[in-house]
Amino acid sequence: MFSFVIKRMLMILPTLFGVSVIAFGLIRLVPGDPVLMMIGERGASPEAYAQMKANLGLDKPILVQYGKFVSHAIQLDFGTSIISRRPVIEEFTSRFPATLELGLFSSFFAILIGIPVGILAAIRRNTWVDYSVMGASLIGYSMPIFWWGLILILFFSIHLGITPVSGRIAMEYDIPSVTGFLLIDTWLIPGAAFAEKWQAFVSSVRHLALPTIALGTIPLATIARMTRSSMLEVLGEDYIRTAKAKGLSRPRIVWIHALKNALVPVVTIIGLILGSIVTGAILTETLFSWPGIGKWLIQSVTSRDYPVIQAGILITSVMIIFVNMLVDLAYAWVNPRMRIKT
Amino acid sequence: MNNVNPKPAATTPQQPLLTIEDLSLSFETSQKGVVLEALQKVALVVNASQTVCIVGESGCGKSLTSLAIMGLTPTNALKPTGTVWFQTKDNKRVELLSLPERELRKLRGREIAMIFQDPMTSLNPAFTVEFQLCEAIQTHSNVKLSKTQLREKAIAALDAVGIPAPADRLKAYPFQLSGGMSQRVMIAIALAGDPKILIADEPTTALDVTIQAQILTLLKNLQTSRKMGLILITHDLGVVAEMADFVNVMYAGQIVESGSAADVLHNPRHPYTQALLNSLPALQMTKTNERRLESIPGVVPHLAARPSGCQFHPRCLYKTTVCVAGHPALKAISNDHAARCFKTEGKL
Amino acid sequence: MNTTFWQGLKQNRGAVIGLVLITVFAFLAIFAGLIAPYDPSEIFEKSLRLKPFWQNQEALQSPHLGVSHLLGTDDVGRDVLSRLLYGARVSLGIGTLVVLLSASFGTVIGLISGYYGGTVDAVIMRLVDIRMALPSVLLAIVVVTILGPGLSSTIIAVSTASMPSFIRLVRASVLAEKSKQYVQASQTFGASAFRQMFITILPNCAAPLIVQSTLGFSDGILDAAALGFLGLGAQPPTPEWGTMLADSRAFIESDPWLVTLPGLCILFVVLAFNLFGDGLRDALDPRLKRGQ
Repeated sequence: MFSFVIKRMLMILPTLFGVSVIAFGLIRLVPGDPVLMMIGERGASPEAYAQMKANLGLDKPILVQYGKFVSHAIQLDFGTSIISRRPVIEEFTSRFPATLELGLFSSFFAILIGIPVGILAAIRRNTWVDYSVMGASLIGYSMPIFWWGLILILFFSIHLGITPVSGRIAMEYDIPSVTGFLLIDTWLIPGAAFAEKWQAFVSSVRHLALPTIALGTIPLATIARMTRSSMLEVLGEDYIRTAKAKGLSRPRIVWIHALKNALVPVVTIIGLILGSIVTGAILTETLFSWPGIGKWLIQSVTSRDYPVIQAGILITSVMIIFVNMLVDLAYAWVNPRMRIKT
Repeated sequence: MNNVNPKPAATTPQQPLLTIEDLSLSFETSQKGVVLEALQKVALVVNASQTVCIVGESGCGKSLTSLAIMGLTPTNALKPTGTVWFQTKDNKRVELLSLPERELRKLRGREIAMIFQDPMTSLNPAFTVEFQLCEAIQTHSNVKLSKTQLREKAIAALDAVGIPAPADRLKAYPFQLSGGMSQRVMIAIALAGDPKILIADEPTTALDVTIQAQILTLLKNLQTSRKMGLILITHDLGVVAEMADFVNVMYAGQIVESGSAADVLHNPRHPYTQALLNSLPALQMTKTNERRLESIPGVVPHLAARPSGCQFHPRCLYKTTVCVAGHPALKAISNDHAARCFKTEGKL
Repeated sequence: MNTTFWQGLKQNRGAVIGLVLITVFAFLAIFAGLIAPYDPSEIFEKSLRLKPFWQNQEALQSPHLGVSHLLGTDDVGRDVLSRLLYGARVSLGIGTLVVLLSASFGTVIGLISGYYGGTVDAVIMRLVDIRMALPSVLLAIVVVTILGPGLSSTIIAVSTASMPSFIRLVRASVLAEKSKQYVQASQTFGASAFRQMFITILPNCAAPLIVQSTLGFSDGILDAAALGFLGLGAQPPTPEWGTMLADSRAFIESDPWLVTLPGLCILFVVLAFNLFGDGLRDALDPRLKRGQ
């Protein structure tokens, strides 16, 4: 196990190098002079030009530039945003909790519904339960989530009027950030009465509901399909026949003997859905004006805020690399064969 | 429901443990209304302390017969027909095929237990030996056992199947055990409920030759000491010669010959049994007359393409027009020796 | 293709529905120029946001008006039906290009990676890892930052995003086939590396490749529409479904069909390819055949 952990950790080094080169190369591959493009042709006094060039790190030999870029990135220094004039990392940390909250909730939503539903479809194979689960998951899997979000808004917000259409919480609340998660911070409002905290909490839940469903739908469908096929495969194994021959009850066979084996490959879904969560978060945040990383990144692309784009690409991909590594390690951990032998 | 006979007095010491009559089993196909008959009117009897072998090539219905007894036929199979009478520990006579699943489950492991061909895949890879063995012990125990009690019983059970250092083995996962060791664990699990009948479905096929003999000896010893009925399914006549009291030879879902081990092995009456014996090198060696080893031409017919008449006729050396047209019955030759062949019926 | 394959496919109701839908959409896309009543960019200044026929009482009563804009007009007065039909052309065109590019590059790279192994394989697999760390939209952000938004950026980003699944699939098949006797036999006959890769090994991974290509269509179309929605893909006035959806977001309350119709088109095309791909997989993969 120990050597496997070391090996897996070493494997991320070339990947980290790769994404850092992409983020670093981004500005340098832009056709034309990125400095001019950002300060605009007209306001290009020599001083302003030199300052912008230094700000972007473009005034040194390329290898020095890369070395500086990496050493700054390790210290979480990504320069200053062209638009807001604030350090990029500050902007990032103020927005990240919103994205994390949305991503975590969507993942819980997808996992907590997807796994039981997938198991149900497997044990009721070829019945209407199975057909409806598979049919619904196929539609969910094919859903353009930016449209799905709009349909949810149309129904729940416009038709029923029970959910807000944008933002994280109603305008009248100004919640001081403690954890960054509004579902928690609403309970930590200093000097507020219980009723007020409760109302703020409900407001944040109502704002979170539709984005969670919109973002969670594709992962939910993926998980349900995967759990079903994994469960079906396991239910056909010899050791399930042994469990039956032992005289065990059906629930015990399904929920203990089959499930533990079926969940081993399902652990990898966290890695698999991660990509669709990141892509989905960018779409969902844009759609619901969710003040997170995704919306910020898209805005920075439109406004050509290169330091922000660089930081966004780098931080997001590094997080994906680390989560994938943790998933692989967790997979090895739940699999006794890997845990003991390697 | 008359599957439970209320009069235990009806039983006599000679009453067999298990009596199968007219057991038939079919599979549904993707075409509507077309079914494939995998078992045709199988009949066999198992007594206490008796080893009954079911012999035949793969695909002839040996394993299906045993799964039908356990009520574990594959999901795409139709409900088996016929009767399977079983004598329980408290001397009730129950008919297994009509028993509801809940009742049947109580019998599994406690009255009839089963071990399988590939011990490596038959143990759950996600749980330790201790978990799987203790689970069986607790399931068949009438009282709730403490963790220490379970552990002690589990160690005793592993010891009884000849596993060295049983306390250490409890912590092992199945993949850490050899094939022979896994099969011993399977036997320990199967015997946890102290069953009256043990069904062993090709228990040594997947094992090394040297291990095979050990497992067979173990089964024989356990059977004798526990006075169990043992149904041993095999394609190996060498195993039959070593183990069997009574032999049923199956071909294409039918029993084609049955009789005591001595009768069937030394006085085979069905051409298929004869052909099987002729293709066996081990028995040839013991005989003084030297004959060529023979193989049986052709293969077991596919269920969807059953031949007319006697199922064996396409591969039979003695076939005539009678065999192509008519279905031979299982006909008694002597007291308990019977064969399904027109030759023994005297029609050839 | 043999008869059992077609029989297997025909038995799968989902696959048949998928194939029919794909055929219909392909037909509409190819003949959009003949079917569409107007040019997709033609602006009818006097009829802005005209309601579709089922909501337009006037249109129902006067057949002339109903026929003129069957599905209504958008916020600048363009005929929605025409835009949707031309949108099918854009989406299916993107899908085709993406699949062609990612499948052909992915296959060649996968063959090389699996066949040569060693350092070549290690480098390729690390590149695949790097791509996996950049989900499709992030990748698109990189491409758009360099090349600017547009259809070609979309195609480059989405093709690069879907290439790894082809590389992995072909590589795995090559590794499995390489150890088999017939490949080793062909080597003893002096077959060249090229011949071994393309003539001996490749046909054996045809089945999973076909399935992956079909599913690649649905991923490609969905990703491209998402980029269009974000404003990173097709630019107005290109009649791209995702872009149309984004443009009409503001009118969701007053004119919900402007949002609903392009979304339904995306959903149905993607669903069709997914249904057909699943059916193909069942029919081509003997392990998953019915009744087993």
